Amino acid sequence: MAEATASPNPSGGFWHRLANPARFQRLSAWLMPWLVLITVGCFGAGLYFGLYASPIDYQQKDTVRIMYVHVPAAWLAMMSYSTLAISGFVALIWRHPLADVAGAATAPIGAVFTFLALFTGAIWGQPTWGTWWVWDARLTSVLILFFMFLGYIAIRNAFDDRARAGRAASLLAVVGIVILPIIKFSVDWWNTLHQPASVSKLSGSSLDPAMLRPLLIMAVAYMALFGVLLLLRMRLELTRRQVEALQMARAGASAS
Amino acid sequence: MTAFWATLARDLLIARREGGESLLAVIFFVLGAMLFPLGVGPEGSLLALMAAGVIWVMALLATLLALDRLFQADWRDGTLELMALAPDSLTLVVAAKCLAHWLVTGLPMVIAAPIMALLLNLPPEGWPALLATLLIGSPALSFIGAICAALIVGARRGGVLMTLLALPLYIPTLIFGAGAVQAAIGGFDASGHLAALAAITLAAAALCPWAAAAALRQAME
Amino acid sequence: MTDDMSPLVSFFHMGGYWPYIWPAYGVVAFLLIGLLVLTLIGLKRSKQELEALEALAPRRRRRTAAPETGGSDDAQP
Repeated sequence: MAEATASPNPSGGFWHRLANPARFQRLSAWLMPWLVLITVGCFGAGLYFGLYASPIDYQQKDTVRIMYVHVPAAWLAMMSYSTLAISGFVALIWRHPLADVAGAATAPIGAVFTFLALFTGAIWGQPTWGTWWVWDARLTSVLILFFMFLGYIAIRNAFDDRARAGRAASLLAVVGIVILPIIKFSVDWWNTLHQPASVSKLSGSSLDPAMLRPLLIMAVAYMALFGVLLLLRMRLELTRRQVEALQMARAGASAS
Repeated sequence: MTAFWATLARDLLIARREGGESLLAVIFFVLGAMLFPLGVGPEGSLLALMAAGVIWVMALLATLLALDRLFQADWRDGTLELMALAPDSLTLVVAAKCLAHWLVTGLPMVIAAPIMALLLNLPPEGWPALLATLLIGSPALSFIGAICAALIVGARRGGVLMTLLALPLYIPTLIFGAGAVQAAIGGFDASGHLAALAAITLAAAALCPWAAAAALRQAME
Repeated sequence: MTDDMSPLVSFFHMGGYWPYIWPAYGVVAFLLIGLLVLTLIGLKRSKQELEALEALAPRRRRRTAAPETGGSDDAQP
């Protein structure tokens, strides 16, 4: 695989051509309407099924409906961090210019999804377990993940040199994803509070299909929204970098 | 391999020249633990419940405090660049620095552990486990922390940022370390926890110097 | 008690759990839409900045154009 150089070679492969901001803009413009369509459609269907056309849980009654916003948020939190790690890996190994942009764009999205998972998890916990916060395995792991997102954002902002910041953040994300399974394993193992059986069945297929449907629809809705947000934030990041480059060029020109 | 021993000797010499500065971490270790009885009350049974966890958390924080110095001084005076350019592997150099760091901060913590156990009313069943876990687990803290120290070398406000980065990574070590002591106190078998802890330390010793060296090279590009 | 509620009211009542369900959904909507809106606003602002800067230095990509802005040294004879 040819190495990506600093200036994208138009005769290079698909990814190299994508590195050209203009081409990326065109691709994202093409994708966007589809993603928006899926997002709106799935949220509509998901909310309909989740809030209205689905049964209540035997034990949890209506509060099980919170699951339809909580569990997809937790899934997207994981997916966001994976995106962070993959973009970091690509940025470090292949130096693809868009990879760094993707990482910077994903971080705040991931932080928001993680926070939502925590917040909805806490709200779900109060009627279900009688406490606003409970140190169960999933919530604890998500809380740790939240701080890993904050750390990523912090390290990006810690350096004035944008390139250095990108490299440090990319490496952090890769280290993070390697240690994350170990953290998850140790937290699972540490957890002594067992979730009620009806909630712990979420990981398996023993969930009532009528409940599985809104859950999966909402999951798709979240993923499509993630795509929309990611593309938009990448455009934002690219535009900001172009502005910065022009400003520096002007400053250099007027200084000479 | 000579780079390894040379770096180890050099770092230990520097630490000895700095004298008390190296022991600040251990002082913080004991002082911090002292705050807990003052905060939650001196009731023996309460302290006994918390002791293992508190001692381990203080060990994490004390290690982080000393981690700042791991690369910062060498970065500032350019020694780090020389080390990177030298023919010997930067990974070995980093491994040596981590080992030196542990000898100067981790090992004294192990030695101070009985004092901590006494102050915090750790039940006697937990004492051997405490020493064992700190001995086995504190090197992991030095090795894992080195990655974070390498990532932020030269950054502004690097110290606090490094803490934010390192604490999540320390959690498995904390869980198994404190867990082993709790298990021993409860009369259960702690060997599983100790094995996991040992595995973490060995993996950290094998992988973290390489990752930290990679981070240093990224910093110096 | 729920028998004399209209279907719409009982929907919002959510079996008594409305103080949990609606805030949960509400915060999710608020934060996700908020992130979207902030991103769009930022995008609009950045584009405006970019256009303003490009208007000031239109020959940035064309080296053959006559220097109208001046100050650039890359066209020294």
